[in-house]
Order: sequence, then structure tokens, then C-alpha cells
Amino acid sequence: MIGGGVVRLAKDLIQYNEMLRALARREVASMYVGSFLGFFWTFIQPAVMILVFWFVFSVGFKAKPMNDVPFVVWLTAAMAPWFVFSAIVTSATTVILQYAHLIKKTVFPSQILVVVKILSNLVGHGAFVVLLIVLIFCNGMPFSVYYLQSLYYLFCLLVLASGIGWLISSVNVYARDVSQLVPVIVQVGFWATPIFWDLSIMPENIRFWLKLNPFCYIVQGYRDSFIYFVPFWQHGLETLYFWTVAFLFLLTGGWVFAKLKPQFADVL
Amino acid sequence: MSRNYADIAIAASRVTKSYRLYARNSDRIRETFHPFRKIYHRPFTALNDVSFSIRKGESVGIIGKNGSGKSTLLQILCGVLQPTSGHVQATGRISALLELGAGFNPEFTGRENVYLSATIMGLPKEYVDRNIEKIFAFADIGEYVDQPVKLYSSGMYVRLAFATAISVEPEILIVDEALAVGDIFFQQKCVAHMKEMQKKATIVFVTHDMHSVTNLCQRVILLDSGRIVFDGEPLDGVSQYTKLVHNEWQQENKATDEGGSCVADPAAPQLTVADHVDGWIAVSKEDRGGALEIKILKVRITDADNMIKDTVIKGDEVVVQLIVEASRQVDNLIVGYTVKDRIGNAIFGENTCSSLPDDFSVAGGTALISYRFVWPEVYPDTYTMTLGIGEGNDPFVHKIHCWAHNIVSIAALVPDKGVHGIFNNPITSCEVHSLHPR
Repeated sequence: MIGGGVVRLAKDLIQYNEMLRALARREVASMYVGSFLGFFWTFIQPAVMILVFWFVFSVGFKAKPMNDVPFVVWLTAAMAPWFVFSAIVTSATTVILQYAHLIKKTVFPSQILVVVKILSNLVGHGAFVVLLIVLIFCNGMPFSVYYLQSLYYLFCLLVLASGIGWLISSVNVYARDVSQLVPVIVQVGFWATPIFWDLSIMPENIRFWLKLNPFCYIVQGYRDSFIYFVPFWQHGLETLYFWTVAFLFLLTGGWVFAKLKPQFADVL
Repeated sequence: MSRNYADIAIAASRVTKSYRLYARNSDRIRETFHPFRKIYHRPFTALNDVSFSIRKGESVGIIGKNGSGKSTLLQILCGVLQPTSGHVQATGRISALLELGAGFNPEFTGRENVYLSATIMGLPKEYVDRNIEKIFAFADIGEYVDQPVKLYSSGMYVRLAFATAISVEPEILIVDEALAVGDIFFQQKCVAHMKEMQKKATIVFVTHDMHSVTNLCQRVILLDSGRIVFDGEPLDGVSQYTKLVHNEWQQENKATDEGGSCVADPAAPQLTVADHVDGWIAVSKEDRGGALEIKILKVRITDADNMIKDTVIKGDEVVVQLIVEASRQVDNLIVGYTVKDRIGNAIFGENTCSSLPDDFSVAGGTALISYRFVWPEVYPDTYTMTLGIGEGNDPFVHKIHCWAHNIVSIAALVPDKGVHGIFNNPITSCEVHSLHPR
């Protein structure tokens, strides 16, 4: 019964796929409409960010390579998934309000909006990953077919983001506090996830608790795919745990969204 | 009933919509997920047990005062809102014109916006490809199609939005007061298009324009405080609506009277012969002109049955009633009226001196005078009436005691036909002679 929400949402995604793509295209286009460099900004933003990391940590702080991997590469591999995840979650929070005019005035499947945000943010993620690969080559590191494994971890990320997206986007319609709370949690999440630091520096007993953060699995997975070349099935327990949490979020998000959706037009 | 079931486009059965009013928005969430279903809201009923069915191809107008639930009903019919109880069944592709240009983004060009709105309305891209030139032609925005819509005039914006919305070729079209957009030519184009659509589609629309109701609908549903109070012929519906509006107006007026703010004349209430329908309009000092030996205190316009009238059609008897106060006995009394259009052109009028052979007189004090005329066929519009009283026995030379300028407004309706000028002049005969037979 609770899963019904998710199944319906999945069906809607197929039924409305044309609208979905049109809206996502529009989202991306609206980021750059009226700017001269247009699509190039997609690359400029992460490129500058990576450049700053490199300058600050490799040149400035003389950060030591992490397990023989240049710090900037090691950092960028974890930043890539975090960057897109936080962008999706933050933009999904207010997506229902952003499209209020359509929800109130037309027959509109509001459940696809979270997916619109996911699709439109994937463009920037693509750029980020391209830059990461360029960075890896520049540092003379090897190419591997394990790169493709990042797609699996991306899929993990999207499932987790959809569940969270549905949950917070629908609740935010009624309690706008959510849109204030989410950036705070994202900030805390950034430091609670092993992006700037490595799990190995933590004491054994704390490490277990840190691994409860589902995003830990994704960040480690990106590093496994681009740097360490470790297949995901070597982390059997972690994989099982991640999918349990992801499905819980998906089911809860789908259920809450389906429950709150009929009243959207009344409240907006 | 069941044998006609296939002919039904929309069936609403026992639709009730109550809004929950919460003290705080967060109470709504608390209630939705409360483990023991604690109630946090006060209910407000916007629609109360509304049932009707609309046949395929029917054009139905929904009228009612502000806040009577019209727009809520439309939103439920097209599925934007969910009814609290009861259900709506619609058969066929629905297009809803609840708000024009809802999906438009000002930064994008007209062309891009048309494509996206069409996608949101569920049209495939190929369909838009085929029809886009037609849409632009209808909207008549020329070379602006590839400019961002933020550069459009508001007229161009709504024209493009309207053209996009009607391009859907729906089986059921639901319109919320969207017809009153653009200039007069565009409005005419819209009305023509609606009439064309009526042949194929079921149309439900909400309007305050009584003329378009009588002109475009075959049936009217009148809502009052969330209930259907009338469902039937457009003209009857319009007159019911008029009564509703007047009753409310009258109640408000009574309330102020009791407050003692505007007791114009203590004698007048006794002279108010009738009844449950009041509707007297007090004439203020500013509205009066003339010698003022006789003053018009109050006026009202009714039909032959003493019911307040503010819409008329050709052939209706219009009864003008005046309560006057004369400072002396006046023989050779003349009363008359002039009907003016919106911009003040006198369209027609008459007085008793040139119409009737009789002599009238009034004693000093207050008096009730009523006279009647038959409404001619004039252009459908809202007219104002100026009423006058004078003294004399020559149509050209007489003394005017009091004018009540533009004191009452009245809406003329012309159902089922066009008026080609200020008024129609019937063609009396027509013959065709063949001149050069082949």
C-alpha cells in the first residue's frame, strides 16, 4: 500500500516523459538564457572550483597526496557526487512553489517535478565528471574500465535523491521552514561525509557510525571507480545497508508526496 | 437515464468542496500525520452537494456572485482540485483555460513558450509543428514570435496565450472568464472561434458578462453560496441572477437605513406599495437638476410584475416608478426618460406629453408616479436611464422641474442574433428578379 505511491510515480514518469524532457530542457536553458557564454558556464563553475582546490591545497597548504593520489584528484572525485546531490536536494525543496502557477491553474503532474530537477542538474554533473577525468589524465593516472562503475553509484545517488526530494518538496509546501533547514543540513552533511577527510583517519569505533551516513557509500564508490578501481560487490554489507536506507527514503518520500499532493492546489 | 449515458460529457454527483481553514499552515501537516487523527481545522464549504450532468456538445454557462463557488467548481471539473466528497466523471479530452499564459516564462521567445505550454497541455511536438503557424496567425503578433515574451505588450501576451490554449481542439473546453482579452477585434475573433468550437465540443464557462451568457450558452447553472439555485434556460437564469444580486443589495441598504444614516423622506415608506422586492434608489442632490419645484426623491425600475429589473430584452415592458415631492399643486404634469449608452450618447427617450393624450396632475406633497414603455431592440450594452419630471402642455416648450441624471443602469441583452448598429431596422420585404435569364 505504501509502495503504491512509488509505483504510480514510476508509471507517471513513463507517461509524461515528453513533458519531463521539455521541462528539464527548459530548466537548463533558463540557467543560461540571456548570458553570452551560455552553456560554457556549466564547465566554468566547477573548473574554477577545482582550480581553487588545487591552488589552496596542493600549492598553498602543500597537502600530502592521499595514499599516493594527488589531493586535488582525490578531493574532486568526492566533490563530483556531492555537488550534484546538494544541488538536486536544494533545488527540489522549493520546486513545488516554483511551479505553483502550473499546479494551481492546469492539470499538472507535480510528481514529475523532482525528476525535472534531477535531470537538469545532471548536465552540470556531466561537466564535473569530464573535468575530473581530464584532471586524472593530467596527473598521469591510469584509465580504467572501472570508470563505468561510477554510473552505478550515480544511479544510487539518484534513487536516494528522488526519495529525499519527494519528501522535502511536498512537506515544504506546508511548512516553509524546510527550505531554511535543508541548506543547513546540507552544510552539516558536507562535513559529516568523508569528502575532505578520509575514513581511515577516524578511530575504528567512530568509523562505524560515520558509515551509517548513506552518502558515505556513494562518495567512497566514486573514489573506488575513478582512483582505487574496487568493484562495489566487495562492499557487500555496505551495499545492502545503502539500498535498505535508499528504499526507505524512496517509500517514505513517495508515500508522503502522494498523501500531500491532493491538497497542493488548496495551499499554494 | 442510463440509456443516455454515452451522451454525457461531464457528470458531477454530489460534489462538495470544503476548505479546511487552519490557524497555522503547520497545523495542516500535524493533522495529516496525526496518529489519532486529531482535528485542527475549521471547515469552510465552497461547494455544497452540487450535482448536474452536461451532455456532449452542450454549452453551459456558470454564473453567480463573487465567492459563490464558480471557479472552485471549474477547477474541480478539470481536475486541478479534488472534491472533498462526491465525484466528477468527465469523458473526453479536457482543455482548461483557467489562467492565460500560466506556463509562460518571460525570458523565452513566443515560439519556445508555445511549445512548452503545448507540452504541458499534453500535445505531442509534431502536432505543434503542424499548427504553430495557425497559432501565430490567430494571435496576430507578427515578427514578435521569436522575441522573448517579456518584450510583448500585455495584449500580445494574452493573445498568444489564448491562441495556444484553444489550439488543443479539446472535446471539453473549460473557460474561466478568459474571453475578455485583447481589443474589440480580437474579442470578436474569440467569440467567433467559440461559436465554431460549440459545434464540436462541450463548453463550460464562467463569466460575469450576461450578454455572452445569453449569446453563447444553451443552458445556465446559477450558483449561490456553493449551491445550485437554478439550472435551465439562459434568460431565466440571468433574471434569477439579477434577483439574487438585488436581494443582497437591498439587504445591505436596509441595514444602512436602520443605522439611520440616510432617511430621505419619512413619507416615502408608506408610499412603498410593494412588497417584498424593494430596490428603490434614492436620488441624491448631485444627481438632480432643474427648477426643483417638484423633486424626484426615489426611483426604481421594475417589470410588469413589480419585480426589480436590470436586464432587458426586446419587447420587455419596463416600468419606471418615481416618488416625488411637489412644493405646490401642479397640473399639466409631464414625465419622461432618456436612455444613454456608456459614453453618454442619448439613444432613445420619450415623455408623456408627446406620447399620451391624457392630462396628469399632482397635489402638493409626495406622490408615486409610474409609467411604462416597451424596450426596443438596441445594441447589447449597459445603458443608463435619466428620468425627468416637468410641467407644460407643449412638447417643445415646457418647464423642467427635476432631472435625475444617469440614475439607473440596465443591461440590454440580445440573445441569438447580432445588432448591426445602435439598433436594428428590420427589412420589410425582399424580392429577386432575374434580369438576363440564361
